[in-house]
Amino acid sequence: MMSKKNIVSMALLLVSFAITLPAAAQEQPLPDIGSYSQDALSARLTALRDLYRIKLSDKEKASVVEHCQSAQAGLRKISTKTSATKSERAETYNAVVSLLTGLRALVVAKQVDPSNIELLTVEYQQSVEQFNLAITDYQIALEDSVQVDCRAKPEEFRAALEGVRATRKQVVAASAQINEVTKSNLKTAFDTLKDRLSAEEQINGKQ
Amino acid sequence: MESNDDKTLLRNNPFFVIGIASLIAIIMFSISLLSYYNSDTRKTIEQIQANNLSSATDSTDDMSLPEDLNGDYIDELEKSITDRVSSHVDDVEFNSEELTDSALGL
Repeated sequence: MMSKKNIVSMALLLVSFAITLPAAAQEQPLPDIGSYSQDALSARLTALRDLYRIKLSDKEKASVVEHCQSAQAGLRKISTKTSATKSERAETYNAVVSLLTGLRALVVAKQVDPSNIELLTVEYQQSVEQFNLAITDYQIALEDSVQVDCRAKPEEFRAALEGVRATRKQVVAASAQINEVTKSNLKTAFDTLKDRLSAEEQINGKQ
Repeated sequence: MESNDDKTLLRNNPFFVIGIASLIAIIMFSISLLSYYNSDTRKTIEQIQANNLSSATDSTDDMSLPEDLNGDYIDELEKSITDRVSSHVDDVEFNSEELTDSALGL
């Protein structure tokens, strides 16, 4: 038979279990974000050092060690500027896709074939997706170059810098693709749409 | 003997059992809510929601949809999109000169 005292004890035990459970869950040996990031950073820098075959002489190492911290300050500024640029571009590209989506609705309402506008919208979305991937890689590369202990690991810092330069080129290429879609595909799609609208109006006028 | 009966009554009392269960549930809920409120997840979600709201508001501010679709609107739309996209200059926003050794002081 369970006494009242036992019931209260059990209730208290359950309550204390409920209180300690979330804390205990947090204390589980889950992957520590900090050490994971450091591992990932080391892996990326090692891969870059191998890729670009970075091998510095003692004189070059000394030069990097002497100046790298001011270089990292500059890279940090570029990283901050890139974050702002990313937001501004996302706003612009989202606006373009919204406008094209609105146009498609108007075209459908007018009972005109919207396939060219749909194709254009998909081209934009794909190009923007590529740009987003490229700029994220660029941000990671910048972060790596800022986070690496450049005085202790000058070759890794050099490798990180090469990584930044390479990923910047990918961002510019992705941006150029968006510009190309705007310059060429957009004009073609809109000219086709105008032709279709004219044809539609002529048919309606005759009827 | 009378005391044992009281204990049995208490143990079998559904209100008492439900009360204990509710108390535990409230405590667990409060802890979860507190953990969530203090977590980075909440901050991230709020930031994403704020960004989405901002994008939705800003996206088509200067370009309202016409009642009737015509060539003028399409020309206007083409110009608007071209101007928006060309307002971003790669050479300024992703300037390669900033990453040269000399620019970084290396």
